Amino acid sequence: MNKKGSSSKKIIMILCIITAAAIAVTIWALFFRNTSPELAPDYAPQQEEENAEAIPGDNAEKMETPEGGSAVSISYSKELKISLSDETASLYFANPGKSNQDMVLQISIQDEVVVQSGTIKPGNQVSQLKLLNDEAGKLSPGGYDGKFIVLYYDPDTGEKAVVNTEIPVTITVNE
Amino acid sequence: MRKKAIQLPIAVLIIFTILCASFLHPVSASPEGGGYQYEIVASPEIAAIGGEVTLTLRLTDYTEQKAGIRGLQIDVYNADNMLQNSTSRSLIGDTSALADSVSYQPERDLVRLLYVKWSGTMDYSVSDLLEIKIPIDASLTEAGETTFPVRLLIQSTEDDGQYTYNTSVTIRYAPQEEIPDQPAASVQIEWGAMEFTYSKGTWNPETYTYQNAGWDDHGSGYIRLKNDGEMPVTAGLSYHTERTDITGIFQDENQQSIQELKLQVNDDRNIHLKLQGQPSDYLEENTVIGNVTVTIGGNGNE
Repeated sequence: MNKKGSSSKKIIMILCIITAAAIAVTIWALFFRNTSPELAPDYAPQQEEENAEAIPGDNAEKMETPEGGSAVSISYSKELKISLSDETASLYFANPGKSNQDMVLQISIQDEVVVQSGTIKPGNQVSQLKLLNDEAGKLSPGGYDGKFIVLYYDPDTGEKAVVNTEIPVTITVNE
Repeated sequence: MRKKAIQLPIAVLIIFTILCASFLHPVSASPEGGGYQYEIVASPEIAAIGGEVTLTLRLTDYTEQKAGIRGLQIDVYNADNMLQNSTSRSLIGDTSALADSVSYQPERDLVRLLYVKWSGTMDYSVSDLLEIKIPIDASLTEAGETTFPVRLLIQSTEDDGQYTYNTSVTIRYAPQEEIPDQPAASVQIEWGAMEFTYSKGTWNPETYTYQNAGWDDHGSGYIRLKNDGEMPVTAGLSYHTERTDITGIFQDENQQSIQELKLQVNDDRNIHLKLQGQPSDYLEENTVIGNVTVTIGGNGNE
């Protein structure tokens, strides 16, 4: 009887430990697991965006730069497409030559960054960007609401500006 | 005893039915466009086959000059079997309402928003009411359009304040290659150095307090926005910080608080960031305490 009782206690102890472990894992997964999206770099990426092209006929004068501040111009289209098979986004985004900052463009869907460009220097535009690794697998064909996140960087120091821009966009995902 | 047991739930049911009917009693006639103004927006204007279109229904004149709204019912009737696979949600977000929900009702073949307030009225800050995302069947091969009848019922706090509006919304779709390119938007953004200094103010020996404490941006805490594109845009401003002791608000040229502004083509506006709150610790020079996000989007004509 004592042996049985002692054996039951052991089983109960083991089950309690397993339960506690399961609760701990659940709490970690819910509250502490890092699922945050791609972090915006504090300094401009070293590499220029390989898909950037010069804006045809762009010969506007530079905007006046306020002391300590900056000035930018952006041109964009609010609708873009993503091809899952090519893992690319087709879009229109331009950093006209009159801007005084380099730019990095992120495309975010449901708070997850699926695209992050290299540095887009003034006078350049992009019509195609590669999806980040593994992001194509998270998307399905259909329509999504997303946003452009435009980050600005000093062209001399590479330091990120305290102002950034977000632009709601409509994304059509195709196979 | 058995008779009483049956009579009581029947009585409760009758009372409940009367109460519900008194909240949403569609009148046989109501002035078209009277009472409240509304709009239904379909976006995009032409949806790609295989993509989706979003319908948003909103009130455009629900201000404190209007009678409060105690109940709403919006019915969007199905057409071309498009609503079965749609997703919809209430944009009212009133957690104190007796009912604030949306669902597709197959027996009636419609999407219905039901909003009922037991006490009080719908907050005057609410304008957007209902959003429905409708997928466009990928098997379609030709451009076309579908019209959904819509009925809006409103119960206000006025005597006889029951309004019925019958309208419709048309969505258009086309193969991707037939959809004309959207005109590009173009915006200029300029910002100052955003250098702020906090002063504890001057000591008043009579009141034993510091006076005129606060932040000074030395003229550098501004953002200038100019729309140099081909279409109107809206611009929202928000200040982000991980600190809890310092907050920021935005003011326009007339020192009025502002969070969003509409920029027509060639509009040029200056907005100022004002910091509030005393720093809880010493701040080294050039410490970054927050950042500003300019959100550009929407239709400046909305």
